[in-house]
Amino acid sequence: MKSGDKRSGRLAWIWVALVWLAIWQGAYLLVGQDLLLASPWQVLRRLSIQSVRPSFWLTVLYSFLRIQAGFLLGLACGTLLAVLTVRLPWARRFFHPAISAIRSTPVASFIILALVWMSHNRVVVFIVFLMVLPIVWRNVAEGIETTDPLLLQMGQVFHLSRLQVVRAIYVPSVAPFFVTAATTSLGLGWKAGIAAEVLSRPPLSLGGQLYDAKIYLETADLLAFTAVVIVISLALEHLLMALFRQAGRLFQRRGITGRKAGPAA
Amino acid sequence: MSVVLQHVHVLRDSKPVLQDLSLTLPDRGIVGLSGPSGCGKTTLLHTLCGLLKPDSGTVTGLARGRVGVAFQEDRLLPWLTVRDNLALVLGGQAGAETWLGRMQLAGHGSNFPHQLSGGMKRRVALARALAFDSDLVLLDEPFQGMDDALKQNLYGWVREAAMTRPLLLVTHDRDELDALADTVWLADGPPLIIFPDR
Repeated sequence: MKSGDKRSGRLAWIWVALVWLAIWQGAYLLVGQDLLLASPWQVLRRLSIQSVRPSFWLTVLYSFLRIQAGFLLGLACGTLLAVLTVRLPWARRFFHPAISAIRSTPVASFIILALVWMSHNRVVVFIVFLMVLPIVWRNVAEGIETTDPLLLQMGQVFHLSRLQVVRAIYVPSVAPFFVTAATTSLGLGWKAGIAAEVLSRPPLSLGGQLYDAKIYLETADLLAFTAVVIVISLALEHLLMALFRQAGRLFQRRGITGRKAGPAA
Repeated sequence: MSVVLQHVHVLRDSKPVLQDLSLTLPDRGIVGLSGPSGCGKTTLLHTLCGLLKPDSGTVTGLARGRVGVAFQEDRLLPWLTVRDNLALVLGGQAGAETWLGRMQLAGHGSNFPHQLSGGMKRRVALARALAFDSDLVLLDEPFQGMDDALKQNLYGWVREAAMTRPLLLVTHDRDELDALADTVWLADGPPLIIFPDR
């Protein structure tokens, strides 16, 4: 994209944001009750007050750690499970009903069940893990299954080692599926993780802050913490995409031999 | 040691494509194979390189089981540069660079397959098959998309590859057979039947 296009794209986004802020302000004036809807200015003021408190950043940090732990665990286990179920038909038959059940069960049911089973901190990690796992499993399994059989035959004929086949054929084939799964499940993980925090109320949690705001009818706080969740989730999604892009570039630059591409010495 | 097929049967969708096929490839040199599409030539190549297991019969003479193949499709890894596509099979970039030069692709090593023309991709696939340290070389329409002058330049490398091992060249092009093949076999089928041309 040309820099001129980028600039006009950014300008368009700023205009859209300003229009939505104006709509929000209009709605606030129309409702006329701070208890029901806070204004953008009130939310911004609460955010600025909160952001100078060390406890705010600790709250953000702890929520981040819990949710990311569940996310990473879901990524790792979903990938391993995908490899296992593609390789072993019995494993696919065995795990398929469980994964289908997880996908179709309301997250609230899992949260309440988990509250009975484990500590508050672990509930959040467990719930995020459960939300991420099926998405990653399904996508990665599809990626493995749709790997071009002609390339696999090429690898077989030219006696590529198992490691070479994985690195040179499977990983690049599955990568787009993995990236889609990771970016989709990251947003979902944050939603489910915050919901789990609201219901389980672990100490120092954004979900707990949302719950308190609701109890004390602090609408401005409620919207301020919601904005924090949205910003973190979007920022992480962008960071993840940037990481994947960087990894892709590194793979292309280094090539399969692990050395920098370029004329041989 | 010659590559020998004895009473080989291969079924595809319950239909025999190779039926009681027996043949012996010479120790070295180029055998040209020509015949109508769908007669079973590709099935024969897949059987020789081990991608298809015969339902009965034997394939012997491949001491190390290593076969260099230029498939009908290029089968290059789209996410690797041309140089890395070769290096992956040859085990080093130096060999890859040499073969790119031989295929008149020097300077294209850093390109990805989608940046090459059809004929250039064929040359990379041909280089991969010829350069691979193998007991047998199988080339399935390796010169598609190339002009005559370019083909002439590449014939020498094909002949050299066949000096120490057998090379089976499948092509519909009579000129290629005349220029390269020490022996020409004609094919018909399915099931595949093979008979000498001269």
